[in-house]
Amino acid sequence: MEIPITSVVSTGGAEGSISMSMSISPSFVTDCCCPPLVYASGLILNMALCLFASRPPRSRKSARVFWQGGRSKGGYLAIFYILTLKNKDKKTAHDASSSLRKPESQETFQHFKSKQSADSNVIVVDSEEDEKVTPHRKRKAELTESDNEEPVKKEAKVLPKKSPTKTKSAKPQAGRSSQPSQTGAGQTAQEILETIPDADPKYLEVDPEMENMNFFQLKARTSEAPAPTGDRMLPEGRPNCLNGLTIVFTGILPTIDRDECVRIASKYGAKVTKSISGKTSLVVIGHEAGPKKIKMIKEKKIKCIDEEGFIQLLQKMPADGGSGEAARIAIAKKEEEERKAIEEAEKEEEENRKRQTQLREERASQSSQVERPSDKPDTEKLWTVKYAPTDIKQICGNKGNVELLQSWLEHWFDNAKTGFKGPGIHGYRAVMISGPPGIGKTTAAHVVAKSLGFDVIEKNASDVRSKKLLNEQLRSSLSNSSVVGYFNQLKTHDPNNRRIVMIMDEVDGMSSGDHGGGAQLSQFCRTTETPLILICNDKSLPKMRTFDKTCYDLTWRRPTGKEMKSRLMTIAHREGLKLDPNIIDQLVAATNNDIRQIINIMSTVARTQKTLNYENSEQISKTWQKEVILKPFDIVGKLLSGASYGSHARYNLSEKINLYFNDMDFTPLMIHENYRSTTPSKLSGCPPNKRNLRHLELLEEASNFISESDLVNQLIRGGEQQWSLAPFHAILSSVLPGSKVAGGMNGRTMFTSWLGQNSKKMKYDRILQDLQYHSSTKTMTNNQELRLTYIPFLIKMLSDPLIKNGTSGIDQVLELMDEYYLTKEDWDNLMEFGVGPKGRMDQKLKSVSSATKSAFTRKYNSYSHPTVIYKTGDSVTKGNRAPAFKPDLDDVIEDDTKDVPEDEPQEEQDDIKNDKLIKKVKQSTKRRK
Amino acid sequence: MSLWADKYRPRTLSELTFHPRISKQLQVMASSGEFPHLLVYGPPGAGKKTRVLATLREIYGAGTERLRVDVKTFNLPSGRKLEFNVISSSFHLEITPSDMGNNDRIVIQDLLKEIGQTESLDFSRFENAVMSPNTREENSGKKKFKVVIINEAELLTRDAQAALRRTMEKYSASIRLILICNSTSNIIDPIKSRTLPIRIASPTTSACAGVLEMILKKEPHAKKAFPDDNEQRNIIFNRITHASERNLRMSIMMMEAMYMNHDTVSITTPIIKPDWADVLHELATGICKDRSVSRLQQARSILYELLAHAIPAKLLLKKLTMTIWDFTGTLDIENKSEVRKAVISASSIYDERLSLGSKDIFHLEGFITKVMVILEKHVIN
Repeated sequence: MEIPITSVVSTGGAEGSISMSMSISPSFVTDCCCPPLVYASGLILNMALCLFASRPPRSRKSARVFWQGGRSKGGYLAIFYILTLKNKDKKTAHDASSSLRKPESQETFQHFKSKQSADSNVIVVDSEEDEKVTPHRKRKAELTESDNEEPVKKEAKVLPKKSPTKTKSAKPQAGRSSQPSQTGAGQTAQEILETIPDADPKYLEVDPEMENMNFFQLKARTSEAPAPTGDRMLPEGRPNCLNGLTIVFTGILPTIDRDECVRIASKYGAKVTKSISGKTSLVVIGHEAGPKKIKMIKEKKIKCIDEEGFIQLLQKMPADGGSGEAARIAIAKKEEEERKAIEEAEKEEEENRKRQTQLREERASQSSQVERPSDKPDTEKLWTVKYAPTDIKQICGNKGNVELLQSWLEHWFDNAKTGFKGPGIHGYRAVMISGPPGIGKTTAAHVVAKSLGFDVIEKNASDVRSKKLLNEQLRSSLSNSSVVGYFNQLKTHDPNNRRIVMIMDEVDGMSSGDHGGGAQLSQFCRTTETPLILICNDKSLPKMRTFDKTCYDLTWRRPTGKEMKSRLMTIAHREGLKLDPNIIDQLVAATNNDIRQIINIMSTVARTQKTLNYENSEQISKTWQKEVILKPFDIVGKLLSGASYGSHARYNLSEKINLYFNDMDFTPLMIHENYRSTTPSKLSGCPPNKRNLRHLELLEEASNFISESDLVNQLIRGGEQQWSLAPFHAILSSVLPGSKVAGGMNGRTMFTSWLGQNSKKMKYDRILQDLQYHSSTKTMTNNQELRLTYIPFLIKMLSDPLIKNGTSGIDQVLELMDEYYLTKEDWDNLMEFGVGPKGRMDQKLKSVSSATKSAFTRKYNSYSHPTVIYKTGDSVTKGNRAPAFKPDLDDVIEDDTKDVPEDEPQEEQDDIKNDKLIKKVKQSTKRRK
Repeated sequence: MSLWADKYRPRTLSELTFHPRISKQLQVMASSGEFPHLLVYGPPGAGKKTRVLATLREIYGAGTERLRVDVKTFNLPSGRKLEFNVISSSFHLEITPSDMGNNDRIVIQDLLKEIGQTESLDFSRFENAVMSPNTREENSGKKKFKVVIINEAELLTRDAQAALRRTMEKYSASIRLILICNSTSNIIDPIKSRTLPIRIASPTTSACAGVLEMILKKEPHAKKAFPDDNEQRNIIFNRITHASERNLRMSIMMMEAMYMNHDTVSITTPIIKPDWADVLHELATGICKDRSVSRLQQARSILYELLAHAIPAKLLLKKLTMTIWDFTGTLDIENKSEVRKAVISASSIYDERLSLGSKDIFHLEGFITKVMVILEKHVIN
């Protein structure tokens, strides 16, 4: 086995400084990381230390490792022979490589050294020279050593006693309490767990009441329970100390917030899951734990610790999760991931280089000087462009859909010949890809098209896509073949090359400017001679419905953190950003699985920092998280939850106000809708006989605030437009009522009914106005009185005859309607005005036979009715109630006093109409009587 | 066949049966030719509009009863068009600017100016000269102006009222305004000072009974259904008047409904109330009896139903308060007067909020919850 050593020793500059640089070639890393190869390979790290430097050396740039020691003495050469015998511990090798890579690794080196000694499988052979390290150097070494955590030392002492075979025999299910321990030393996770006392058995008692509760009730109960006091700090653990453990948190921990625990646990490399399974190493339990979980714990006999135990665990666990098998597997896995990412990165870089050179050659041969945007150096590109997938394998997530899309496109022209009779996707000419932004829909479409050698025509929201333009531009291109592809085909003889795929991006962005574009596009989907891929965000929009039948629907899902991990690691590696794999999940959660945003975050971070680890990621993800706007339901859920208030509130006041500002229109309404459906946590401890009163008092306070908030709202949205009062409105309308009634929700959060009721009110107001216009000459009253006195009695008078007498009652009803100038429409509207169980007419009118109803309608339509006002225009007729006892003289006067000239022609019309109507009514009256 | 309330509406001032002093005053004003702007106010069903129309008839004659409805179109500054209905005869106009909500100012400005700037031509002088040369000319004087009746004047916005005050003076030569409203509390002082306020109170119980009796006299069929005995009839009338809260219109309606529903009406015949009043009564008693969170939830849906069906929130609050007031009499309560005081104070607070705010349900619920707490604290179980 060849031992790969790449060391460069350069001695003696003009200034008399000796500097040494050393690097480990990538191939070495690769080799080492491959388990079978590493196995017996001896690794000699040849390290030269330059301890002599009177001035800063110039070769710093080339040096990946540079130690600068004391200034007084001559240079010493320290050579470490680090032999990895028989062990698979790639971590060691990798650590070596990674730590050596850093320029400022004096500490790291020391750390590395101690790690070597901490691991039984590595023998460190210090060369003699090492002993002769300058006093300065030595002091520093000691310092760092003492800085190191205690247990490391302890373990180092323990190490020699321990035989490697024993470690090997540790069971893979480290952490299971039922497994007897074989090693007595206490450095595997499992052994440490043994030392931690079990949780108080009272946590495992299931409240019989809880067993029959449904999800909402349970949720309500947990939110009722006292929130963690939060006055306890979790201790600092060693890096990655929970590696390889699968932890489940359940119930409410007495002092520390559960979310905080989860965060800490995953920070130290533990896998935190929500449900208990065979793989679970331990459960951290608090009170009010779910009955299902407790059952599982008992069934599977899983180690169960409480909060205290968790803290102990954090303190006791050695770095990297101890020497247990599970920990090692976890480490191995992590390294495998990293290695893959690096490998991938190298490969890409290689390809990129090749492409660049190829391009350059081509350009040289073409001797054209035109610079294309794609030729820009990578540094100028956005990361999202730079690292956009170029190969199907690089697309994160949605593997099945991508394959489906590929096979569809591949067989498109075959299917075209058979007239799209195939099953599923093969029966469609067009495909609709839908899904949230930033998950690679467009990319996937492009990559698939490219991989099959299609030419892509893309239209997106930046193009006008009206019906007319689509007709002009698309129709012609849909039946064409690609010119570029045609010439390429001469070279490659691939038939696909002449083919075009049309990608319509952002279809749901076809706005009012694109008049008729949607319908036209769906027409094209039916007839297209070219594969058509449509992309949209929200398929459920009404305007997208036209595509339901014409396109095969491919729904893109958000890629999970797992799916994105390797890709992100690759990018990070290529950019030299140190990305802690543990935090990817956190970034994923913060961005709502938006891979584009994560890459953007990374590129932003890379400008200022070299690492992305737990400490800064938390801050980063917090700032990015704010961009996500909460839905009204979530806002209300948070504002009405008991944990949001009190001395250990989850949110402080300004955070609560911000919750309101997530949706300041809906939050107050939703609070109003739901503030009564909680069980306030303030009721706890209230004697049962006072409970009702206390609850009512709380509601009274809340409703008082809500009512007052409406006045503030009026100042904000009314004529005064005092928007500076908005935070005050937030307090009054949402936070204060919430603080009173916060607790567990009984049942689900309801959507506000105010909107519906308000529009209903508007509708009835309008109807009432119409009724008033029609009847006002007769009733001489205003809307309100019409509603309150006339309508209830009119309803009775206009419906009773029909209900009681059937057809014979029709005349009576019609007569009354004509008297009040009511139309049939008004009659229908009137009937809707009944309120209360006795007043509502819909049930009562059911007893009217359909024969009567149709007779009523027929009769109504059979003659024309007196009208006081025509809704449509300004042609207006007089009422027909001119009393007869007035001498004609008045008529003359009246006509003459019509002094407004423009009224004159109308007057004539009026007379005609008037006569007509009077006549007709008289006729009908006759007929009826 | 109209409803009795409309059928037997008095048309002239002399036909009016109650408030004789006001009728007399109006008559004098109408005949004198010196007709001021009027502010007629009083509770619903007291006969405000009837009196005003009778006065108009007194001034102009029966021509005022030839009514028609015009649709006027107004252009808002924003370019929107508004349609507005105007009831008019040749002598007067009747408008309800509050129909236009916040745009009532435009109606007041445009419409009143338009009418005010056009003098009415008066041919009566020539006619009189032709017909009866000896008639004195004083008759013509009273026809120089047009009357504009403004309904629901208390709902006019501040802007509209401000627009009104100058118009009233500037065009006083050609128009007279009659503002009709339920209460003057919302009317700005400058307008009050420019008008002659006339309060039309609700008729007394006996006046009400008199009107009802008169109607029965004219409806011989109906009279048969009612008991012959004057005493018994009076008891029925009193019950009706009480139930309608001396709203004469409502009383007549109720009487007619009783007659329609029952062949014979006796003193025990149940009075038919409007449906919304029944619902409201049930709601109020429910609140008093069962003071619980679930009742509050029920109350919300009932309130929503009433509000959506165009029952005004202020009326709801008033009726609820009155019913609860009555109900506290039947409850076993520690300190009755304190409780009543608390209820009234809560009611007035929320009444103000109803005026200032826009979401009625918030305030009504606040009131109901408050009442529940007050009662729950004091009721002895």
